[in-house]
Amino acid sequence: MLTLNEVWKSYRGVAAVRGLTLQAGPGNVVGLLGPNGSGKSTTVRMIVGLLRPTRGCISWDGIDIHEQLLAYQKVVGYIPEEPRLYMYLSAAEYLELVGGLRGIPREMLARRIDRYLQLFGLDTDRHAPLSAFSKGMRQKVLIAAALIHDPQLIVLDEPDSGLDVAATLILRSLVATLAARGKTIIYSSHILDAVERVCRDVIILRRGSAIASTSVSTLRQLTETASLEAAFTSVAVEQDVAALGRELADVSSR
Amino acid sequence: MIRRLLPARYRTEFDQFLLLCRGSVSRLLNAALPPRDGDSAQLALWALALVATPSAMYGFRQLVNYSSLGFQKAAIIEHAIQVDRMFFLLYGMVVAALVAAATWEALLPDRADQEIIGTLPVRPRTMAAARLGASLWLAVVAAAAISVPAAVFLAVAAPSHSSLGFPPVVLVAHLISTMGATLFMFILFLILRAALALCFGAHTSERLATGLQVLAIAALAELFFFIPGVIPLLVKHLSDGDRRVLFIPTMPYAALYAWLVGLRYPSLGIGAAMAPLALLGAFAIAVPLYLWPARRLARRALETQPRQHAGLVSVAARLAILALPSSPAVRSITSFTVTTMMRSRRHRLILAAYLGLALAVGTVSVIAGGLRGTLSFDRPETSLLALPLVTMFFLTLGLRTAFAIPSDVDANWVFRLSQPSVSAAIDAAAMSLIALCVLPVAALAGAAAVLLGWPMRDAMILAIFDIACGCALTEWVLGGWRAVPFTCALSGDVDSLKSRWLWRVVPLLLFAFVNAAAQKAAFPTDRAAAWYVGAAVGVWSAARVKRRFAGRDVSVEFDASPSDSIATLDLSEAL
Repeated sequence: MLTLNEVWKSYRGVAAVRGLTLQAGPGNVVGLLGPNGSGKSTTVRMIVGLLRPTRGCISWDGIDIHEQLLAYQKVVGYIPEEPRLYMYLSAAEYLELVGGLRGIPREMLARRIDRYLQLFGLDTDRHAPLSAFSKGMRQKVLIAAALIHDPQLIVLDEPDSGLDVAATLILRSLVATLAARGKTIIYSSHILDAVERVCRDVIILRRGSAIASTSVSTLRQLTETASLEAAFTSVAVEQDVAALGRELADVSSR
Repeated sequence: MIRRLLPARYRTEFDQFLLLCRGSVSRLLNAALPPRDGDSAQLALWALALVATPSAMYGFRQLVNYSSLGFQKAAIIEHAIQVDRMFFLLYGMVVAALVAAATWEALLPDRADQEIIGTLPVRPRTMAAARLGASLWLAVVAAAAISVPAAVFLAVAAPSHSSLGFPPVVLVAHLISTMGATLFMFILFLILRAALALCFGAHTSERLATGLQVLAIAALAELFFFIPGVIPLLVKHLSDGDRRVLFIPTMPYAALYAWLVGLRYPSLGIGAAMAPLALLGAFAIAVPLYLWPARRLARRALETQPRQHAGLVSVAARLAILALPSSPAVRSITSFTVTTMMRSRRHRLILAAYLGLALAVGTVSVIAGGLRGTLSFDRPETSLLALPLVTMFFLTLGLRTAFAIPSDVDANWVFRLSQPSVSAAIDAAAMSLIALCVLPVAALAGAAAVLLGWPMRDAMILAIFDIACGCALTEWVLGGWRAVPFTCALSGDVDSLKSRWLWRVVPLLLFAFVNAAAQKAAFPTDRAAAWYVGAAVGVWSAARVKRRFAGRDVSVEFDASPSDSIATLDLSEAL
């Protein structure tokens, strides 16, 4: 069980996340939604242990993750928003590095790498440097790296970024299957349709604070809207999007 | 083997250390030699061969020289050995500085490393230890590359005179002393890197890389021009038993070699003992300096927000460019060029390399003037006037070279779509050269003249002279240029590597030294000064008109042709 209890994160006195509380248990997919700068990525980076909260506590199975960070990181799989990879390594080399650092025995690791590369259609490019990969291909490598050690908690930050339609559908199916197998999943995305389809609960962030934290269906009922997109627009979007669109179109034409 | 000796709880960490060491070597090589298309390991082999060549050639020369010394007195031989020794030691230390400067940003795990590895169950100290291990391994390889060939040559030459030492001892002594000195200097840089990161943070530390590279390259060039005059003096102090010289970093290693091959100077034992102690001491400082703050540095790398603002110089340069009376396209390209140059470390390092050469050549001219007794700092002398001209010459050539290396080829679609004219691209390149190379050097030259006590009139005339001839220089440097800077790799530059470098020696002599003599002649009267400036502006204007005329019917180039690049190299011609 992942628990965030009144978590704050500040950079030089400016709060990026304000008093966030969240719970995610086995089999649960929790969606993180919010406009740019709402604190989604900071929250995700705190959950995976990259950042330490300024205040509050993040715990896994009741233990503060920073008390036993190494043990906690063994059960976490993370797909970052930006494809953070050593671009001079090949896909196989990168997965060998990650798997090796996670202590997976060599033969088992080789088998898993072969299988992932095959399933993602990357086996013909296995020796090409990652710098030669497209964004979608790199994203597939990151997904493989996040899952290679069979983690209990999977944190996905914009996982469908750069993926083609088929790969996006496969990802959704993968997330549903992992949740069905009892994994805890945090799914941060801008794509409301994806969140609506894969997440049971959703947290909407605005300026670092959670302005809604409930199930997708309850949120739709509360906002009296038909879709998550409409619900999100009613609670999180502060601008008049139609008017702003018109203004943008006018900038260069006048 | 080591793994088995470790307690069980450290074995996982040891496995991670080995894995990360391997990855760190690639990371260091990529930082030093960012590959454009090829493999950085292959580039590293070429770089290794390049740094190994001078010491190997010097060793081979000694093989020839020593074989003709069979009848010489022992004292003369011993002196010769030590003079040669100092060359190898100094060269090894300068190479260590170069390796440190080239790999500077990757010597410690940075934000990117923390982002990738920080989510895995790896202790920050393991990552830092792996980076330290990989850095040292790289230094050992570089040290071996510059030591082994020369050691073999010297060992082969040893039987020609009894004072040269017993061949196997010569071989081992050369390896120990040269590799020890190289590693000692490299570890000093590791200490400096870790201490700076700890005290001042990543940004300051990164800025220092450029300065370090300038100094290392200047020192490397000076080694061949200037150091040979100093070495015999140091050797004399060593043979006289002067303990003070043992505090010069090379001297304990020179003493160690002398002691190992059986020379018996006074105080040699102390010097010989200092060498391994210094190496061990440096290592003993570097290890805790890497491991102890690893967690803190990791957290700081992750929590520090990327720079939110452009540098002051960058903003000032952009504002100055926007105020220039030129077309929007020229202003935009100039602004892009200046900003890229300010922010791209790879391009800054290229310019730093040329600046290092400029400093070395310029200093030699000043030292030569001093040795001839013709140098006086209180009035315009040819050797002093040549200094800014040499700097300007190398900087403009360096920037021209950097222009040809793309910052991000995939991003050049902006220029491809807008298709600026060739004259706009060249005008922008020329303005960038003036903004980055001519004006700063001229301003510094003027300020230095004031500080040296020259009359204000002379200082101003010097700055105007340098600006006038610097502008003319930019037109010569941009001969044949047909691209927007940093957007295209030009095949012509490959050709220039092979065929043009010798031709640049003559222009250097003309522009820097003959021109400095002309400036000196023009200094005394305002009329002569006006003639000089008029002539320089005339040359500049004529070159601009010629260039515009030549560029009328051509379009901007964005793609180098790989087949042309290979053909123009044509290495077989050199055989």
